[in-house]
Amino acid sequence: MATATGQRLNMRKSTLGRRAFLVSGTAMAMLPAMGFQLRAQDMTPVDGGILRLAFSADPAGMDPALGPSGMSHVVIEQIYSTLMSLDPDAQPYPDLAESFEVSGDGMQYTFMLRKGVKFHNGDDLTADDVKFTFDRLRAPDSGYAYDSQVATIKDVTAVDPHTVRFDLTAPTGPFLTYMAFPGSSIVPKKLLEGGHDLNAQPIGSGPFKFISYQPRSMITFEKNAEFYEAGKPHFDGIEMHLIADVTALTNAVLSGTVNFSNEIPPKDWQMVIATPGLSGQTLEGSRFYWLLPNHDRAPMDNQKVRQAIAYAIDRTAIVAGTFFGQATPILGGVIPEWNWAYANLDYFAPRGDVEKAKALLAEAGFPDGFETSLTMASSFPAMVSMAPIIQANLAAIGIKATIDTMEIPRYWDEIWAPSKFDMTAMYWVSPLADPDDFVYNNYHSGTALNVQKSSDAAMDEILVKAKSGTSQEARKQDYLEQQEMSLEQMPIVPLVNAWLLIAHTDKLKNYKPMRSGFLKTIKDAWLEA
Amino acid sequence: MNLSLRDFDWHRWRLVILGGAIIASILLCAIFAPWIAPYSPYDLDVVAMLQSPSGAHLLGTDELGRDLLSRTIYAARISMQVAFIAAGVGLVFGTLIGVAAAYFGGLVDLVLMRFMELLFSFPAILLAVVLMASLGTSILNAMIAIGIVFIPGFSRLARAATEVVLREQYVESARAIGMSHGRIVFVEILPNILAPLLVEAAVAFSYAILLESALSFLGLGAQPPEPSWGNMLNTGRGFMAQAPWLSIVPGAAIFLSVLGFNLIGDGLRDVLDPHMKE
Amino acid sequence: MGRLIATRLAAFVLTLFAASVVLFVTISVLPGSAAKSALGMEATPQAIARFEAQRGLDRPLVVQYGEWLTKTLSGDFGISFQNSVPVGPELVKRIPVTLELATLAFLIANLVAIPLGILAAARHTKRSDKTTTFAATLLGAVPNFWLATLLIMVFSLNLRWLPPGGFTPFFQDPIQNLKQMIMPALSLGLVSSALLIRIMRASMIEVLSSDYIRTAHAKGAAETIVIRRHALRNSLIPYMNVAAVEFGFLFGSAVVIEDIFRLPGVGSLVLVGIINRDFPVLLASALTITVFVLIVNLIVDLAVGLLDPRRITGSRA
Repeated sequence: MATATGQRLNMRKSTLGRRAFLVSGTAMAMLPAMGFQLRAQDMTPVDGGILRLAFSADPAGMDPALGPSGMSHVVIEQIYSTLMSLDPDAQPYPDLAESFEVSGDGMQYTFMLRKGVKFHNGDDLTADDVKFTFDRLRAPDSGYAYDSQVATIKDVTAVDPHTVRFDLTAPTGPFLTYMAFPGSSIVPKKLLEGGHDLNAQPIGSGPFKFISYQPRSMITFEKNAEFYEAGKPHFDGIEMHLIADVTALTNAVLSGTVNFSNEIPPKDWQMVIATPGLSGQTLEGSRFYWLLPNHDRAPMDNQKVRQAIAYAIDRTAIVAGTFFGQATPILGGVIPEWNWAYANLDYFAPRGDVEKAKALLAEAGFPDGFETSLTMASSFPAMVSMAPIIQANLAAIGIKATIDTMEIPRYWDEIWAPSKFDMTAMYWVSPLADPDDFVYNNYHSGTALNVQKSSDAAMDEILVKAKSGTSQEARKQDYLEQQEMSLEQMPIVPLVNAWLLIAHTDKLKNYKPMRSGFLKTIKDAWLEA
Repeated sequence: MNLSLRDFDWHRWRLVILGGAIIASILLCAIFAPWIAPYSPYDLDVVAMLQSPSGAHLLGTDELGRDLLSRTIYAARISMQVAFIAAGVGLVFGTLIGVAAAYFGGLVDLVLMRFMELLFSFPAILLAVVLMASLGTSILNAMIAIGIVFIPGFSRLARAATEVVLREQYVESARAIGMSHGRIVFVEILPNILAPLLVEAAVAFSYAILLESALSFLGLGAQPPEPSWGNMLNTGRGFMAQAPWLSIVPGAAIFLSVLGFNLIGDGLRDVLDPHMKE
Repeated sequence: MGRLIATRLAAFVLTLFAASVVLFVTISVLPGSAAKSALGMEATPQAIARFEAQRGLDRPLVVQYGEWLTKTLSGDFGISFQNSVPVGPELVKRIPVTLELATLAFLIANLVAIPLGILAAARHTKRSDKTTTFAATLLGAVPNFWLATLLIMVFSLNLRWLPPGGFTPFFQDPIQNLKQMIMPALSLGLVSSALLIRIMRASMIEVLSSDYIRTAHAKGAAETIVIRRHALRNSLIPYMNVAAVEFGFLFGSAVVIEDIFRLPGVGSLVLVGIINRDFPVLLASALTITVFVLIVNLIVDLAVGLLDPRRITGSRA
């Protein structure tokens, strides 16, 4: 991942055709999409039109430093620019930066910025803005939710108006990916120093300019005619329709009120893509669902018990019943096949292995099983749906689990934060697509996300080592080791990786869905007349 | 006194009997669910999901392959439990407050009834929804919340009925001979206000079923996978096109229960108050 | 008369004030922190503390209430926890939606109830009376959210005549607005009409059997004229009393119906506030609905008091 110095890197080649990223029969469903990508090369872009997208949540804020939620990032992505960006396969490429250099020891990154980039209010974007952005994120009371990403930055220096240098305290493997994160969007120093409120009126340098926001209704944007990528974006503007109820959202897609959504529920997917005028693309990203056994409560503190549970689960049933086929069962390490750190480990039988699980349970000292509870957040339909399946799987090996449910606000406070559960299930959507982001916060002891209270020195060590590795090969080795360790210790029981389901009008061309789940590639797409 | 079936005034009691029959059947389903239901309500079979009614599954299956008929029968338990306990809570506390207000009068009356009026001015569903969010979603809390919603209605009725009784002479005589407050309430007052309270109770049962299913429908009552008609109706909403029976059946169950209690209430009202005879 | 208005208004204000206290207290003790709902699962304890401090959630309830009251009286309904946007403008935009829904539902209920109630009363003890009454009993037992679901299945999914939800303002596109409102209004209105049919019928029967009417009969006036002129006017007064209270109830039921049809009204805002633990939103919307109901009750009280000085005391339906 560390690249040759001084060269403009163009890593935007589509690598979709080369990967076999789908499992079993649904590969056939992908063929139209793949063919569609190949044809896209020889189509001429059409300018104009409004892309209307549907989302279910409101953004919590539109200031990159203060936008903690996924929807905030969707908005921020269109309005602002970042030094690096992720391509559809989640490889970082220089975006605002024309090129970059990394020192041999990985402690210094220098970015050469594009010239002539302007903020939406006409001001020039210079190295001062970059420095200001990261100083702001690193400030002690910034409230930045992802401060771990900027924790290793010692200093940011504006060498000249178009060159910025980052000095780090330690080599940081995912650094370039962090630079692609929406939170790292470059903000206008002059405006902010003048007291401007970015939440109310976001001003960036991205492909679309913010026009208005009606809560729970709509966010509107217009094309940034001075966008630094010549000829882009192609749409005159975009509208983000905020439709809280997924059924209504699906209806809006079906009726043509909106022409794009990545939030179609799996149960409606087949119906949506079969509708004339609509196309669908499915993509495996990094949306992990897993069971979290509480290591502070017996017998979940017993490694063999956790292994037994992991082997007992019928992942095919969860894929079918909860995700209607639109998910990949995780049969080994959680890092998915499309990612460079994928370790082809085959541990679990897709339908579960009752005999093996029972044997493990007996070895653990529970030949007759035991009683326990499974606590789910009732506001997530997927959790509610998979709970009975898991319960049945566990019952087959003698574990009698009662299902408790609770709506989300209380769940966070009463179950999640104080780790008051025997077992719970949660999903983790990684917006970064770097393997560190898939596993670090979930497996490392003592992090806020580690509510299962797992703690192992060797696991911590390997996670830190993998994070700070300086070459992709070295890191890949480390992640292999980490995944093997995770399947031995089984601090978390992985279940499935749910696919991204993107439905859009047939008229949308050259749209390449991103594995990170983001929508940066909107600027490359256009609407046929 | 010899009462034979022929002498019984069937016609006068017809509504109560019809309603009673409906409710009795539902109660039987609730009580004997494990014996009546063909499957367990939790037995899932993902392969058999969303099947339309067939020989194996008389009312079809839901989104996880569970038998709809069995789930509907078991859900009767929750509805009946909530209905009885919520109505009971409303009846007991409402009566206490209403009788106390009328009996002691003065400041007690003023304070109590003002507070009841305040609660009464909140629309029932709104109050129930806010209470449920506050207490936390569980079946027990649904019973409490709905019970609280009923208290003002019962208290108002109890108070009015008690006032009527108080005007009668025998209460004065009872006080004169030194009967204690408690005895007066239980011996003289309560038996005489029972009639209108029972009618109101029947109405309360039916409204409790409606409120409980509305709360579950909104996700604030019984939580899945526990079957409740309301939350089954809510889940069915997501599958209206593929599996309409998921929306039709639970709603029909709610309808029948409400109808049954309404008929009993109407019938009792007719029987107990001949002046209202149509 | 002046005293009547004054006392009623004073009672209205006091009740409103008391209602706000009850709502405020109930909402403030909602379990599940507002901070976590707004900030998500990765929220650090510092971020949570910051969130709560910024919104004064860590101060005693009485202080919070006092501040809320002052702000609300000056028109400031607070800032949403979820998206940091003032609640006031959004609330104001939603009020017409709920008002339109309740009004349409009320119209439908009356359009059904008054003619049917009169018919049943006129044909008292005959077959059509019994059928009407029984139909009303059946209708009154239908849960309105079930009726809503059935209507959507038939008219949206099957026949594709009507959209399954959403809202377009009337002045923007009246046809689309009515298409979107007809099913919600029917769901609410039809079930309400069941009660009203019986009230109208009972009221008419009472009036028809009164001496006044018999006198008119004896004088030889034709039956229809008797009904139309005398009975109707007299029976409408107690009917409107109940109907108006039912109108107030509709605002409460609107919470569920707005949810089903995705109508951006005040009722659905209540649910949004609960799900997100967004206290300012929840408080403002719950209070608004309560205000509607109280206003309707106030108008009814005043109207009854003004129209009939003898003040028939009776319990409200």
